[in-house]
Amino acid sequence: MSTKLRTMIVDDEKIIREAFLHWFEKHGQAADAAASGIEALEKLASQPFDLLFVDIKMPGMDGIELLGHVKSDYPETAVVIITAYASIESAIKAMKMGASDYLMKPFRPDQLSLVLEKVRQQKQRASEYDYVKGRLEKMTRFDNIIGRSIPMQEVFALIPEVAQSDASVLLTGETGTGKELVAKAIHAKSPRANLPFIAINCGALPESLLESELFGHEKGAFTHAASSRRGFLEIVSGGTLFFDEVGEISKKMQMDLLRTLEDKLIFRVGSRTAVPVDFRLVSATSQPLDKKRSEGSLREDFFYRIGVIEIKIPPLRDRREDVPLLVEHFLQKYGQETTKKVERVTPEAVERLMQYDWPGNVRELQNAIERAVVLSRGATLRLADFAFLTPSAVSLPQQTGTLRQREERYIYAVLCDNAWNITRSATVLGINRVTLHKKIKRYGFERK
Amino acid sequence: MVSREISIQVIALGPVDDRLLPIVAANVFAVFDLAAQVGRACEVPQGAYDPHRDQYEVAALLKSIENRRTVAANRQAVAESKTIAITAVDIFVPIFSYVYGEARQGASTAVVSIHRLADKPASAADIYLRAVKVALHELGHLFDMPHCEDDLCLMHYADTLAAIDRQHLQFCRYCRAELPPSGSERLG
Repeated sequence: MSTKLRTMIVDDEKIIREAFLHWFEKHGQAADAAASGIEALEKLASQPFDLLFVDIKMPGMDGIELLGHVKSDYPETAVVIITAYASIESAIKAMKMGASDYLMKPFRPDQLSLVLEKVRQQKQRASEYDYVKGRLEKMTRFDNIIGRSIPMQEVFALIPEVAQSDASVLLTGETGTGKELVAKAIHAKSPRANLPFIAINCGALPESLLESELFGHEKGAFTHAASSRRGFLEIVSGGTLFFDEVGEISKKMQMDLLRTLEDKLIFRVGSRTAVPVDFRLVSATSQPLDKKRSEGSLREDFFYRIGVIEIKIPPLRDRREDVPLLVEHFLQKYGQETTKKVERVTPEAVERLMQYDWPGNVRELQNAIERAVVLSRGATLRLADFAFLTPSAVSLPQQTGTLRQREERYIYAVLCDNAWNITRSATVLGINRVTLHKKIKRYGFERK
Repeated sequence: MVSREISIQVIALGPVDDRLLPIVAANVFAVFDLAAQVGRACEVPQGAYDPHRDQYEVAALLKSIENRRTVAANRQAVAESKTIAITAVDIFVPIFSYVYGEARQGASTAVVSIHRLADKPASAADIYLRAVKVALHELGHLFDMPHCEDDLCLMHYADTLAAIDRQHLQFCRYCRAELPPSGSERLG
């Protein structure tokens, strides 16, 4: 059984409205009616409709004007214009304004069925498109974090779950993997989304400055403290605090923060007055915290308090299938930000980027794309545009096969890596140019 | 529990082929398992005629038949009665250029026009069959049955002659479940 459309008939003639309503009643679906455009808009404001049959000629607001309002305010509502007056101009105008169809009354009984079926199919296609688009967006992008690989899908699945609670989250991952983006996504999905998100790089600030930045200070608390100042723990006022490189916090600061997390109270530097605070903590680290715990520079109780939930962000080399998506994303980003019209990357170049290990992860990839776009001479980025990538970070395609096969693959990889520059490639391989030429001839290499 | 008596009449609304009425009545019995009688004919009310369209307006036809029914029903004290009026004139409702038949949901009277059932070349038997299907469809509406998505079912909204011809002379199993209690069921 096909889906029934929520329908409204808008016509100033009562017998027309009744005729439609009787027909829909026999069709087993409820329909509503309005005697004017104004009444129709009032009804639309209180409940959604899938389809409107609208008479063109009505006193006050005519059908074309109503069509304009509906398409502007309720774009998902289909409108079929009905009229007793044949007018090509009004038909064209209505269709251009987004009407789904145009019927001249009285119409044949099968014309009504055809129109309903047409609208139903349009809606089904639209909803299928939205579903696929939604699935695709969900698969490839989560609040600006891009990835369709299984490791990233697992991260995406965790974000909304952890967002709903106030439990402290510890994000672990190498530099450049997008830990701050994940923290922002957690904040955006949380009940605190409308409140501030404040990021603090704990490794970038000396301890005394970090203390003042976090807890605030009273006037005169230290030299140059010319006035009182609220710290981030107060300013965040119910939002989310993101501590990047949390492992760099001193042991004294860890103790102060631990008390703050337990009591939800702070004391500004130089003050004896307790100030209540409310925030959700998300921390991140690119360093293995276990080592710091064993060294004694990270308190056990602080470690457990900041990492009630741990989310591991995978390095880019563990999710190489996301590289093409990221490349496309950054290409679009830098295409908009620069005057360069770089629109695509050759498959060979993408393959090369997928083989690269990206020690700097997504940030390094982003920089690579930006550099390639800025220095490009055409609309397409090629292999040579990425020749600057460090050869040692190239993953050898395969580590199996005979010695000859391995040599063949490695030489080819180095040639590609150096944009087929014989001198540079020979230097990397540790052989002279003549030997390299012989090897190229022996293996039948051809520059693509 | 008192079983309700259901009376079904098939009448002519204006001049109609005499053979058609008992055929319709017989098929009502065959499909609904409800006894149907051929009733007294009535005239087509001229007040229903629309000279602009050269057609007869259904609401006015139904009203005329209803008025006559009320008098007769009062005399017979029948618990529930339905009337199927067969006419040869062309009929319409305001939004459609024509209809083959019309009935309001759960009402007591339906009208069926054979005027356009001969539009496609057809034998007399084909025309009778079409008329029967339309009549049974409209009678279904009188028993509050809605349109059916199954295009072979009698309750399918058959908006063309081809659609009527495609219909089987029966309801699908889902619509059959909505039929009123049959004569044999009521007798227990």
